[in-house]
Amino acid sequence: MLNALRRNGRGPRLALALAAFTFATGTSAREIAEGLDPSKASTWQLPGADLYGVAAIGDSAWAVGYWGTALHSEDFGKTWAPSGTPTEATLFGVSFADPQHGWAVGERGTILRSDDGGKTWTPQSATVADPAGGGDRPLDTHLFGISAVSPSEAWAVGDLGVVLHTTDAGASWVSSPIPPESFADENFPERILNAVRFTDPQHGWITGEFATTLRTTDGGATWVGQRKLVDTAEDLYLFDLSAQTEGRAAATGLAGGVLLTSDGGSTWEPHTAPTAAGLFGVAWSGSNGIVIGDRGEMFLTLDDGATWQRPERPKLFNWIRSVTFADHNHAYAVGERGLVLASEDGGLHWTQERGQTPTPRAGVSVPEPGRSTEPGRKNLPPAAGQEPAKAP
Amino acid sequence: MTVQEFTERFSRFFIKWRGVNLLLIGAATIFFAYHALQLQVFSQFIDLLPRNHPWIQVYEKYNRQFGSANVVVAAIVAKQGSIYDERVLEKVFAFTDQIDKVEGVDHGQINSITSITQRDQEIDQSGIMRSHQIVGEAPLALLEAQFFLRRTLHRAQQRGEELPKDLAALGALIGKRKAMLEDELKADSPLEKAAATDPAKAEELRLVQRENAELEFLKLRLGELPEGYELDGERLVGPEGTLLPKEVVASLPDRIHQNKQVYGRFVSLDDTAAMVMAGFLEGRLDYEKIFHELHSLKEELEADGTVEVHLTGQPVLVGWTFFYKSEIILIVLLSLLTLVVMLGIYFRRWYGVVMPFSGAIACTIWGLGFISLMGYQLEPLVLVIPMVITARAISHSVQFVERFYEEYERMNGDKHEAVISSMAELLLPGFIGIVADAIGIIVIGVSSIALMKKVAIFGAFWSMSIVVTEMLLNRLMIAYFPAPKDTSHYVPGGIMWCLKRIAWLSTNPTSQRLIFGAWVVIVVAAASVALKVKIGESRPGTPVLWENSEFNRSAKVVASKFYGADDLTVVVETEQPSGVNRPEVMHEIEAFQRYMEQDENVGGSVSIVDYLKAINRTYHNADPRWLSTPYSDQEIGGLLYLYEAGSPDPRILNPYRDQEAQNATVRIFYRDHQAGTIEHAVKRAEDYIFARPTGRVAIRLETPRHDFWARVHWWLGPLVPPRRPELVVLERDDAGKYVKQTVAQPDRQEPPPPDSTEWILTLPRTTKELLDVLVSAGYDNVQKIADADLTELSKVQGFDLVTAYALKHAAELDRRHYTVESEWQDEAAGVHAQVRRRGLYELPELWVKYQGADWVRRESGQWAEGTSYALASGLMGVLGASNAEVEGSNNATLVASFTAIFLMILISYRSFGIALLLCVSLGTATLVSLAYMYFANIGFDVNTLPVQALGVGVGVDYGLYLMDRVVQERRRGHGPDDSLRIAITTTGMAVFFTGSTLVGGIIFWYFISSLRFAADMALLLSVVLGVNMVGAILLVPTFASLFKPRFLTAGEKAPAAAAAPVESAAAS
Repeated sequence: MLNALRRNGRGPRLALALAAFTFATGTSAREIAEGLDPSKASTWQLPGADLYGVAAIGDSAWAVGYWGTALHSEDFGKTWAPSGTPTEATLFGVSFADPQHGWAVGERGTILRSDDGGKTWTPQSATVADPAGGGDRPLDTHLFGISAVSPSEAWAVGDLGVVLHTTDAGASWVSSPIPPESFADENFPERILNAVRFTDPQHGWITGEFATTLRTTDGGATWVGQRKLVDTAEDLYLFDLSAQTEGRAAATGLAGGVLLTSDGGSTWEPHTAPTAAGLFGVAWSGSNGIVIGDRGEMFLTLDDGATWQRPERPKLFNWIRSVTFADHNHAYAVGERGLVLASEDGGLHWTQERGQTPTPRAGVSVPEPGRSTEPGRKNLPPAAGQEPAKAP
Repeated sequence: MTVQEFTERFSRFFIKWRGVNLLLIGAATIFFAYHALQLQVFSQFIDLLPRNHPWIQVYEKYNRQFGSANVVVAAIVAKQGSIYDERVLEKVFAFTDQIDKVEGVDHGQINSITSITQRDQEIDQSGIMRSHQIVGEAPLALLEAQFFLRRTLHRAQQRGEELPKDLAALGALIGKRKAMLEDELKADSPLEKAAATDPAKAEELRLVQRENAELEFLKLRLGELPEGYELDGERLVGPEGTLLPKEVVASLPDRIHQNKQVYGRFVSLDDTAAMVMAGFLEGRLDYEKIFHELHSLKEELEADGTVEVHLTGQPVLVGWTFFYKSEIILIVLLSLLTLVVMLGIYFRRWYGVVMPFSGAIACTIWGLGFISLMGYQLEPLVLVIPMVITARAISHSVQFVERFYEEYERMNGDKHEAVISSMAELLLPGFIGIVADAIGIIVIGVSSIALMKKVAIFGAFWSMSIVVTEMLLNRLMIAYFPAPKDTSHYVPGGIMWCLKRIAWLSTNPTSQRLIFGAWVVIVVAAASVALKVKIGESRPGTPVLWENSEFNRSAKVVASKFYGADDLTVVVETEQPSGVNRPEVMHEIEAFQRYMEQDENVGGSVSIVDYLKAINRTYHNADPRWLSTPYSDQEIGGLLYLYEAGSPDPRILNPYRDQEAQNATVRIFYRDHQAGTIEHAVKRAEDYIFARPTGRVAIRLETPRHDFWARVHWWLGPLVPPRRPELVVLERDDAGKYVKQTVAQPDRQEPPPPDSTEWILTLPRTTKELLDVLVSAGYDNVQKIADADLTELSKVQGFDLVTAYALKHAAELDRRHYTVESEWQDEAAGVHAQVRRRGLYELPELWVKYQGADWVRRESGQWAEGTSYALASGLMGVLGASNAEVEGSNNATLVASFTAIFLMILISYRSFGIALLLCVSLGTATLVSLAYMYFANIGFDVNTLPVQALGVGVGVDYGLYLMDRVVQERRRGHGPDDSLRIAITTTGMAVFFTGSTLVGGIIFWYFISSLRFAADMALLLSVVLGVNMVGAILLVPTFASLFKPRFLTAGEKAPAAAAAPVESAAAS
């Protein structure tokens, strides 16, 4: 039986369009990469590559994504420089312990390490026990979440319940799967783990499918999954988690689901954002929270989730996959087609710094009938018969 | 017996037996006339394809699976606001629905936002993947009801019936009308009976059936209407006052923008236009009917002013050429009328008009009859060629009549002797001119493009027929006609004055040098651009129609609104079923796509990977991180299977992957199909494939493109045997580096491989479906096909003579011994590759045997373990192959024409000088015409190449007649320069007549033709004719006088004789 099917055996009703057709944007000149070497696909820098993960410390910020894309900025997200990565695998998550040292993880067990603030990256590898027996084999499942605790210590999580831990700057990654009894549900433990966040070396959180919210207070020696979900489906699919302290955290999931806890994960209260879209990312700073998700959805709360507002931002409908606070004011969100949004006022206003955004001229609302002068119509060739006959 | 004696005797003999001869020619003409009446005018896409080109072999191998390149692209543009308006959506639905009813459409290849092929998918409560139409099934039913309602009411209105006020009245109207129609549709109804014999009635019956079916649908849809729907005039309105619930229209933009398969491709980025694409079959189609139906549909949909419908694509283009067919015929008639008038003015004698004309008509009958006899067809764009040939016929006739009048005057009214003498004198130059010309035409038939082959064969025959229909028939007619009363030869004073000045110029030493200098300048200037004439289309849209024609305006709209509709399709082949489902193959496809997209001409690309990733994402709660390839082939196969199973048509992924998952496609969309764009696109693909071998072993055939032999092939093309390609084998070593392997060159003969039913599949262009058809017809092995009777084979279902011949030829080749030119084998890797050639002029083939499987012919000339790429299908591939073929043969055509002409003249006149002089004149005309093509931005393509090839020969007879006259005058004892002057003022007169008459006859095509192609060609031919005329009258005599070749000076004792007074010589 397919993993995918098993995972979604009781999935919620969900409509989704095919979303990988790779047409570029607009009829205007599109950014293209020239001189790609076909024999070295891992060196390709593809303009407009989807971005999946973002991290920030001070004025430094990093974003990673499709086809080994890794970007870094040192001016609060104004300019982003690409760095060469030794991989064509898609990178899903990035985390830095300090402005110099950090990791990125991605497709099929990809782990990259940087010691120079994201300018260059070197590959690392992890092995896991082969379920078929015969010792260890290289990890080849996707890694989705990474949390750098210190320049030498980090945690990573991914598909099929993979949890990795290093204490030697990644020279060796130790697989430390969570024991089945630690989960708060009866589902199989080889589940998708989407995010890991450590607030300090002792306290950390993991989130994933089947409303998985695990917490450790002893540096990952034991994980506790017991929690009470208030008015929320037992198996709400959770995409991301933002931990503020050992006690306070927020998790986001399908259909606008936002869960908040202030008692170390024992009780989770729903604070649903007004959307049916999946919320792929969450970032919290003080009482301000930002959630982002599918179809360009983005909501801001200034009162710990009691009320939600749509911040001021460019109209777009690319999906947004990841959001983070650099400090209480600076925040970044990244997503489809290389999209980078940046805010300097704690998320109230956002500007687009980067990315190809196919902005629909008719917008996502229904155009009023009779409105004839849309921006896009100016370029229309004249109707038949109106064009002045050109001499052949 | 000298040539002169022979022509003299032949002429006497021929005129003596004139009765029998006339009877014979008459009988033949009646025979051809009978066939000419059955001539068919049609067009088939397959005729435009060079069938030997590797890309076309790949295309033909896969087109049934992955779709044809003969595609109609329609843009439906909202005049106000966006397409998210129920009236616009109704039009999109209607067009998509109705184009499916057009004869010749491939029902599986219709795509738009309302077609069942474009879908959204979701996971339902029980975890099953379901897909649904983007607009939604219920709204589509409402759109259908509205569209058929509108049609029904319009029909009622046309019949003068009162329109219903409410749904009940509408129901009554439908009931009444249906009863009436069903009456007509009853078995044995008068209409039914008449339809069996009368095509017009059959069409009427079809319309009745269609209306009946539409009423049935309407009734059904009206029965299903939700509560609260009312009839408001022509509109169905629901409780909200609109046809579609407001919520449906409001949510549509969101769904469209989310669907990347659709947004940008089938809906424009600005939301103001929707695209409908429909593939058509490639055989013989009634393009006139297709065009008519599409256009009336366009008019019907545009009637209420909400949308504009723009139609483009190859079938529409062919439709336009048929649309202008009657105009072309009208222009041809006008040209002929002009010719009559001009000939009348020149000759002032009725023979001067009747002879060229009767000959031209007879020639046309023979030509058209021959086309029909061979089972060929005439296409509108090919109509230019008969015009050129007719022009040549007229030109020969004018020479004869002019000479006849001259001789008639000389012989003081002895008609019989005048005929024989003029006939004898012109037999040689005329015959040589015609034969040389025919050779020039037949050379274009070496191309494997069926249309060019056909044009070559009938063009050569048609040209040759001038010998009979013009040269011989004219003489017979004059022999029978009453002798002209006026023996004096009318000489237009003005023209004579000019010719005398020209004669003076060409024999005067100073002017000779000036003329020579001017010639050098012109030739150098023309030559500098002549080789730069582009191959293929050199501008967006089509060069066949004017820039501001409806078609080209529509093409511009499509190009500006959408990412591009011209696709390059690359087939990705693997060794066994399910091979495509391997993650590493999917990754290769994805990498190839990403590489190809980094090109500013590219709008986007699509492959099975895009579907796979999107489906994978859907399965993972829409998390975009799962826009990735699953881990294993089982998972990939399972996901794709579930997607197919959740769609109403399980073949939904067929354009992207075959049912066995052995082969897949990558489609890359380009903004235009100019030759440069295609070349660049293919080069990028090849660069990629060469630089990124996959698996342990990668094999390809390589032919150097820039060495000495490449130049030879560039000039001689199909005249020389295909080159021996290099078998390049790359094998991966332990360090992961690819190392080029040494390849054996055994050149050993091998017997044909064992025959079997399965083996038929290795023949080019055979598919499993075709195999079934062949086996059921009794052809169950290759030998049987090779031995088959051609006419019997052509009767197999779906075959015609051309297909049957191609298959039989392939089977015969297969049963021959073949030479293994190069060979490489690696037992450990299980790979064995051979380059086989079955004949000197046959293309070398790459055969690969992999891990115990049988030998497989690699049409693409490539093989790689795991993932092989086969270039190139889609419109870009098909046109690219066609361009390559044209490029390969256009120089060869020139070389062959010139060689033929040179040799013919050399042999018949035994004079190197004459041959060289005439080729210089012809070469000048050709260079100038090429320069003209360059400056007028006309490229070589399937349509223009035959005209250019024919054009080379158009002027050869001018110089030939003139030189012949010079030789004759020399024989009569005139001095060299005197002979030249006499020739210029006599034969030169006839040359001037024909030249100016023909230019006058065709030049105004340029001003009135709606087809840019006809206008371009008219101007091109005028240039060729004009230059050849000047060449014959001025250049040839000047050079002769200047360089004094032996034929001119032989027997001349004192060069001083040339100093005879000009006036007296000219007057003699």
